[in-house]
Amino acid sequence: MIVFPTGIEISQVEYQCLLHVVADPEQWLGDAIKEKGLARRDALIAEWRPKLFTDVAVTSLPADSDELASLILARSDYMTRNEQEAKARLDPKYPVMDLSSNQHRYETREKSGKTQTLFASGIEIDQVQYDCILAYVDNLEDWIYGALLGHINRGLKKMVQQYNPVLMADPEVVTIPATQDGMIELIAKRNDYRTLPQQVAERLAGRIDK
Amino acid sequence: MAIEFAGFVYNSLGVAVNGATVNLYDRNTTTPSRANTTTNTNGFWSISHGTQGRFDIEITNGAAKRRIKYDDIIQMEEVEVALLAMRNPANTFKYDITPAAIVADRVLNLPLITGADTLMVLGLAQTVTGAITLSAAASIIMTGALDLVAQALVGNGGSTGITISANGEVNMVAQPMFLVLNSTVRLNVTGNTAQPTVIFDTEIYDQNGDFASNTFTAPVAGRYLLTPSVRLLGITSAADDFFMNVVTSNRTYSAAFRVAANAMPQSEAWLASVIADMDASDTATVTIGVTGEASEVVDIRGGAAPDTFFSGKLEG
Repeated sequence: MIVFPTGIEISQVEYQCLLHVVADPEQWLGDAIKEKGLARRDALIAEWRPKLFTDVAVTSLPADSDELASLILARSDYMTRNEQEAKARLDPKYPVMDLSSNQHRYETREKSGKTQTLFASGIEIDQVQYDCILAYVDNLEDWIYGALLGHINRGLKKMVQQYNPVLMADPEVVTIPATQDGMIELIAKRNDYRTLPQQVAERLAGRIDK
Repeated sequence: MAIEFAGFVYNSLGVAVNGATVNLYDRNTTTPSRANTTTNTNGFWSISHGTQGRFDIEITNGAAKRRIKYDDIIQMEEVEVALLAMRNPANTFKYDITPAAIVADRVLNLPLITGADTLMVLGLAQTVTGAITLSAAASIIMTGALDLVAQALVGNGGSTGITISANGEVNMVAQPMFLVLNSTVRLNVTGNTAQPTVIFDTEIYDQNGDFASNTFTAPVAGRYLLTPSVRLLGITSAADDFFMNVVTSNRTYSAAFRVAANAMPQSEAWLASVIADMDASDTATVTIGVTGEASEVVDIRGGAAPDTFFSGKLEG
């Protein structure tokens, strides 16, 4: 199935932050979603296997993980995360929480300048993996927003942490921008700037002194 | 690189032969001569030939002829050489095997192998000055101790990874670990129905850059210790229950405090702790709620002295 059919838009600066930590942002996000799907599939199977063993109506189990997960998802006593939450809310004392906070962070974040669209044709995800994710996650699109924002932030912080001392020590740098976007743009256009994947490659080639 | 040939010619009486002709032929041929020379008064001859190949040497002195053949194969009990050269199978280059400037007799023991193998393991202490790269399929199996004294194991994420001090303290500077706090009082955020996300706007530390906008994002899958602490103010005698939730992508861990109606303590700090299983890129936030009030009158305390804070680390 396809999620985000028209892609996810981020700013050019945010894209630069992603590039600092991953060589290919779309590859990274696609792999992250797949990894999440497989992890939740395996967790679902591990959680349900004891129940299946004790269910006298179950006489055999598929030897294929996807088929086993599908069998679990089709059971009448299986509930998605959302269904579990809805049932719990029947208790008037149960806290009602907004679980879609990552989408809110994405929509309300400060951004400016040019933009870049990831997955302009949408993100394709295996249906079984998608269903297994929803066994634990209330909203996959919200999870994707969280993953993306988290990695952008990680790239931003690592970039600033490593290159702020470089800027401070550079006699040709008289002033440093007072905005994160300005700081990232200043770092990225330096001749000595290297993304983390580039630094790893150079280190493996023996060209960087530790 | 030229191939060098040289030798001495003596007659049967042990006298150096002067003027003997020395020809270089391709292996097992008698023509053409690729190079030639004559012995000097010391019986010495030398030929330098610029083309790689396999060659025989033929020495002629009058009617006498002697050939040193490439195809000679011999066995000896012991051979002592100053330079051992081994040609590659394509016969285009050679390995020169030379000893270092040792100061006493040494023994180089070749490892025991049970089949064809490539020399890798040496019993001598080695100092490696260049990078050693292991492919993804390679592994290092140690049956002894790995002794790192004041050295750094560099990870992929930066210039420092795991550092071991001379006394054995271990720092893992890229290990996900954070401590954040709420810097100011948040007025009237809960009490009736509101279950707000707790704001943590000040970072004491965030080692791996995993925290932003009140949210921790796990960089890798693992078990994360998450410990929020929230202090509330403004609770009235009408309050009934308090919830503090660690909301992760996979589960919500809810710590609830329920008392008899209208019996909530009016100013309290609450702490929760969970080792949560998180997948890579999963998020964690903290929400709280107080019920029973007529409206949202309860505040979340905050300030420079941490009393509403959130900390976490990757346990494994």
